[in-house]
Order: sequence, then structure tokens, then C-alpha cells
Amino acid sequence: MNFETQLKLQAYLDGELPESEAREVAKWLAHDQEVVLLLGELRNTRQAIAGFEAGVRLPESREFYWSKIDRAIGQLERPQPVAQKRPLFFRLQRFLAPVSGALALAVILGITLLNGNTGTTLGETELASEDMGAITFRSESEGMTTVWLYNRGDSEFTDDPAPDSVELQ
Amino acid sequence: MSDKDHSSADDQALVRSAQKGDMGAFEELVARHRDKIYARALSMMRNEEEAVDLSQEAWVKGWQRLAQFQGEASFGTWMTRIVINLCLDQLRKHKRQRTESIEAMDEDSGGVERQMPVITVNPTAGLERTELRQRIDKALAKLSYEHRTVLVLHEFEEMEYKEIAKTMECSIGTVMSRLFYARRKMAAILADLRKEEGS
Amino acid sequence: MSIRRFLAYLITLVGVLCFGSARVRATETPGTRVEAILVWATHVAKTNDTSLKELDPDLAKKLSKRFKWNLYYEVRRKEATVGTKDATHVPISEKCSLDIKDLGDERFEVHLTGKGKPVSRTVESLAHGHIMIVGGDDKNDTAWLIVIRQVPAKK
Repeated sequence: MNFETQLKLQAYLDGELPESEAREVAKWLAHDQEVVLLLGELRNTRQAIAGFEAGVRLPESREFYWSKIDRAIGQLERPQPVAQKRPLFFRLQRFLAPVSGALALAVILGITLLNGNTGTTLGETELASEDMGAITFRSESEGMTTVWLYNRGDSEFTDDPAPDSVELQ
Repeated sequence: MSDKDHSSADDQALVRSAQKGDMGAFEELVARHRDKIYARALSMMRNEEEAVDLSQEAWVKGWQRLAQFQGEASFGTWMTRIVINLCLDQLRKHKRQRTESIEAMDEDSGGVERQMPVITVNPTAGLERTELRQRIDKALAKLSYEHRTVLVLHEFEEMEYKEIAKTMECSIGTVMSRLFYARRKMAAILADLRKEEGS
Repeated sequence: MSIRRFLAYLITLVGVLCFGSARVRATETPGTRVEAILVWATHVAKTNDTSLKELDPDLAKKLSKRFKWNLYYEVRRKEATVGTKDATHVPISEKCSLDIKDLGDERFEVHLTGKGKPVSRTVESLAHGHIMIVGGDDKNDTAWLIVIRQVPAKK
């Protein structure tokens, strides 16, 4: 059986052949066992995969799945924010040359505050609830920082001893 | 349309309401068809995370293009076409390397599928639905993305050869070759799985 | 030095600082590609649960050196591009999400929200090769871990 015949047989199975060619294939099927076997295999495969997708379920709840779609649609439809005015500091820049020493010092202080790192120190952890505790352990050699959260009410964890679920070196 | 009406309304009515801006109606359509859209994306992408993301992107696109939906096909079919196109774009973007060099030769040099012995015993006969799904899943994962895509478009999306050719931007002959290879490879993989698992 | 000359020097210094500051602010670094992986740590193998897949072996090895559990399963993995301007929302599961912001100098601020309520805020390094883990105990002597890191370069 040559490749052209094989493809024609497939097209016959898929209903893609014009009538005259379909009749030709039907004749082959009547006389050639090899053709019959190949058609059988193609048909079995087709039947096996039919309905494959029917059992597939989205692994997210309706609400959770919808929330992201809703947010994305909302972002598309929200009017674009008006370009923010450049901060006063930059608009005043061209006036700084003739300004007195006192104003210059105030501006230097302002620059420091704008670019400063207040509240963003490495290793900071804040908790939203007083009922919770956190243990942070950083290992440069392992390249790992662990922040372990726990309920203060749990008997395993107190503020002092090391919890048994975090191995400290 | 109230929330109670949404669940009892048919797709056509929901689409009409959604086209007028009723988000609740659109949400009901999402709930009804989300599994199907996700399943199609999963069949093509073989990655759950990507399938979830692309299916959600498809819904957003569906909302944007809702005015263009005239009811020429069912709403579910219209949506699956959107997700298929997104998946195809993503697959092209990935420019996945073919994992088996022999596959690169298949379409040009004659193809091993033409010489494969015919699998005469149905390799999936008697299998429970779950087990069958698992085996099909494993077998699909072993196909290249071109072969899997043509199989998905033909078997699940029920596209004709010429439609697949247009979607995949290739010739009808290439579609037929790829589909033939995909089917024969699936049969061989399923037969091997049957042997391995002793059933 | 006269007062006038001193003021002139000061004003020049301010001008240079302002210009430098403006140039730094004008350059917004491109976003950093970050991934968050929800991991379930346990002692007992879960071969029947198809929603779980075994964690990347390198990462599992790293975790097993730090934590007591033998087995680590990947529950969910999300990638996101994190910028310096606004926090990027990363929903990691139905019950929790992260909001991550690049603070510069490879410091990242991570807000964890659970069941719709804020849980914690952490500022940590996410330099390449460094991972941050936020975790807690779960039922039956298991634990949940969220591994956050810059997306590693593909091998």
C-alpha cells in the first residue's frame, strides 16, 4: 500500500473524499485485507480519543476563575488615568539656581526623603494580626531566606524556643 | 436580567444580554463553558497553568468581541475558536524545538508512520474511562505540537482539512500527512502502554 | 570664604544633586521576572492525587536540607513581571495571593493575603539564585510553602 493510498483511506474515514474516490476506496476494502486492517486501526484510534476532553475540569472554583477575568475586563474598560503631574520638586528645579541657602538645604532634605528607604529595610517582616508570629532565618550560603508563620496559640511555638519544623543551623 | 434569570436562560439570551453590557449574563456563560474552553487549551498546550491563563485570556477577548458574534455558530464553538487561536499564537511564540529529530524528517523523507505495522488489536478496548483518559493524555503528550494540534483541530474541534490548513497556515497535504502520522503514532503509543501496564 | 561664595557653591551642589536625582528617577528599570511556587511538604507520598506533581528535584533537595519533610509537591506555579512602580498581584491559590514590588537593589516587598485578609509583609532579597520561602504548618504534620525567586535561566 503506498502513502497516497494510505492518505486516501484516511480521507475516506474522515468523509473528505469526493464520491467517485470514495467508491474506489470502498472497492479496495472489499478486496484488500491490509486496507481493512489499517482502516480498523485508524477507526479505533479515532474512537479512543473521542470524548477525551469530556472529563476535563477546570482546577479552579467558579468565583476564583471569574475574578481574574472580571479584573482584566475592568482594566480594559477603566478610563486611562490622566498623566500625573511631575512632582512639584521637578517643576521647581529651574527655579533652584537663584534660591537662597535655606531653601537649598530644604530641597536636599526633600531629595533624601523621596529616595530614601524608610520602611523598606531588608529582613523586615510585619504581621497583620497579633495572633500570629513569624520566625525569619536567612542563610547566605544556601541562598535562602525562610519566613515561617505560626499561630501564637499553638503549643509547639512560643516566642523563645526554636520550632521543630524549622531546622536552624 | 436578574441572577435567577441567568441560570435558567439559554445561551442565546445570555449573549444578547451580555452584548448590552450585562456582566452577570457573561459570567453565567463563562461558568457554563469554562471547562470546555479550558479542556481545549489544555489539549493544545499540555500545561495546566498556561491552559488556565490562555482560557481566561480567551474569555476577555470574547467579551471584547461580543458585538461581532452573530450566532452563525454556537457560542461555545465561537469561544473555542478564540482559545485555539490564542493557543496557536502562544505555540508559535514558544517556537518549540522538536524533541525527536526523527520527527523533523518524517514529513519530508517518507515518514516512519508509513512503514509502521498495523495495530490490529484495539489497544484501548475494555479500559475504564479514567484509565483511557490517562493513556490518551500520556500519548498526546508524546506528540510534537504540530501533530497534536492537527489531531486536536480535527478530532475535537471537528474542523475539515481545508479549515485546519488555513488555521495552521500550511497545505492540505501537510494536514493530511500530519494527521495520519499523529493517528498512527497514537495507536503505537497506546499499544505500547497496554503492553507496559499488562492489560 | 564669603557668604555669597558659600551660597553659590551650595546652590551648585543642589543643582547637581537635583539633576542626578531626576536622571535616576527617569530611568525605570525593566520589570523582573519572578515566579511563585506553592509547595506542599509532607512525609507521605501522594501517588493517587493527580493535582500534585513532584517538585523540581534541585529545589526539593534544597528544601529538604532546610526542612524536616521528605517529600515536596508542586501545587501551583505562577510567573509574573514585577516592577518598581506598583506591586504586581500574583494569585497563588484560591485562598491566598501575593503582591510583589521591586524596591530596587534586588530587594522585594512581598505582601501575603490569605482568605481575603492581609497576613504578612516582608522585605527580602531576591537576588538571582536566592530564594525566599514563606511557609506555615498545615494539617497532619504537613506544611505549605510559597517559594519565591527570580525565574531561573533555562538549562
